Amino acid sequence: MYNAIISDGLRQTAGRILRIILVVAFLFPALQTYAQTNCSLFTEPNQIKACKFYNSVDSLPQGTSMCEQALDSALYYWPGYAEAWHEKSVPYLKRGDFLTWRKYLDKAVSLKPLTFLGARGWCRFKFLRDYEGALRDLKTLDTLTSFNPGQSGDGSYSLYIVMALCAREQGRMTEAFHYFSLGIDSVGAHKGPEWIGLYDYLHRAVTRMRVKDYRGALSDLDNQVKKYAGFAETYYYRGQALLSMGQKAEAKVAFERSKTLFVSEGYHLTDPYCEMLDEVYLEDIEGALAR
Amino acid sequence: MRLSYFIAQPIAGRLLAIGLSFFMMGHLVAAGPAMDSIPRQVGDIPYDSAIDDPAFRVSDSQWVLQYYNSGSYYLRHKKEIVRYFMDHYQPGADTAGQTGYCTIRFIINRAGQTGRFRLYQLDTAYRPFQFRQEIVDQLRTLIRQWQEWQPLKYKDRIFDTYQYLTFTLKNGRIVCITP
Repeated sequence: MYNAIISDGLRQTAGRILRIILVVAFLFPALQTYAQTNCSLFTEPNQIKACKFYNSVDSLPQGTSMCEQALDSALYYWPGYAEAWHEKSVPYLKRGDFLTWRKYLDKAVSLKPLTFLGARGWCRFKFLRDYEGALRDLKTLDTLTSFNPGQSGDGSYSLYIVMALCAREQGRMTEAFHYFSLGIDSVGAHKGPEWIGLYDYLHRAVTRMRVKDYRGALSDLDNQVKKYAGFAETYYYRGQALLSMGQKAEAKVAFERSKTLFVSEGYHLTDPYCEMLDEVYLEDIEGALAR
Repeated sequence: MRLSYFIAQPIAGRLLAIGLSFFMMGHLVAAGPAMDSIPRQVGDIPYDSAIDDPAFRVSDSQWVLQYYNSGSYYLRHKKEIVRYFMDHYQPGADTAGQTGYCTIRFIINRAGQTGRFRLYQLDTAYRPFQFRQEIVDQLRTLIRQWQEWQPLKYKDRIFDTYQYLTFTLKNGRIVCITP
């Protein structure tokens, strides 16, 4: 009983920590980490002025006229200021004006491809599901970075996982598994399992199910539970895999757990801007339970 | 977070922002474009008597929130909304080449009605493109006819809300709806 209390306490603490991480991640307003620049690093007077205008947007709500004008002023003094072009692009992305978004972000990419190609690829994947274009950008970045493309703008994904999902959605499963391997197995082996992303095993499990590798999917879902057991999706896909293997009773238990997590005890994949890939809805779970 | 910024920003912070704004004004006038040419917010849709329904009411045009400022109705109900479009949209004949992204941005007012529709149309290389009028009209009509739209609610207050839908079309067929 004492162990159970400790275990419960640990679970609750872990749950609280995760909740904080999730809240911070979900409410994070920018799509690329915004950091104040140390303007004293610049020596050119116009670049210093531009830098000060750029830093001033930190206190202005993104997308407001005052914020846009501060960025315009920064770019007036220094048209080659890639960070300011990027920052200017973001509200257009969030509000569906992808022509203007590309116009500004492409300037940032042309000035600093190593810094902004990843953001462009990731946003093409996330906001438009432009899998082909996103993968093209991310492959170029992979080469430019000597095969270390880094993380998505909000830090939630290794860009190798994004590449895997882009390949998967275009039906190129071998390529998808190659990138999953780079994003999960290589990261786990070289940096440690704590560096594997919060959703990575889940996405690979769904991919394995698409090629009817149900045992492989269950193995990935077990790893997902070890990583974090609170996603309704983990148990929904577990139920689907078990169902495909003819294990109806076990599948039902998994679907019931999925529903409990979805409705009360846990979480499901969610993002403030876009539907996430492999996200499930309550009606999916209830539909599976009703069958 | 943006919402809480607007609503719960301490007065001291507001004064600081206003002070900063005035401080910068001198530089901005010299450096930037004419202030009137910039909308209050990126993506704002002011009333245009030539195209907008005068009966469509927005309570306070200064306080139209973005769908992502708080839990969005669209994202919570996307599955049924997508099913609705897939069930009702008819590509029609002669749609070869009707390929790209058709984005319709609009306002959901506090009564759950939709209006102020604006279009952004791109080909797959993100260049300006024009879809056939029948396609655009049909998508806009379907958005308007969806009866379940709900504006954002935050701390028991309801706000007029900007929403957009992007239809990825391939030869006139819907292949994806985002965000």
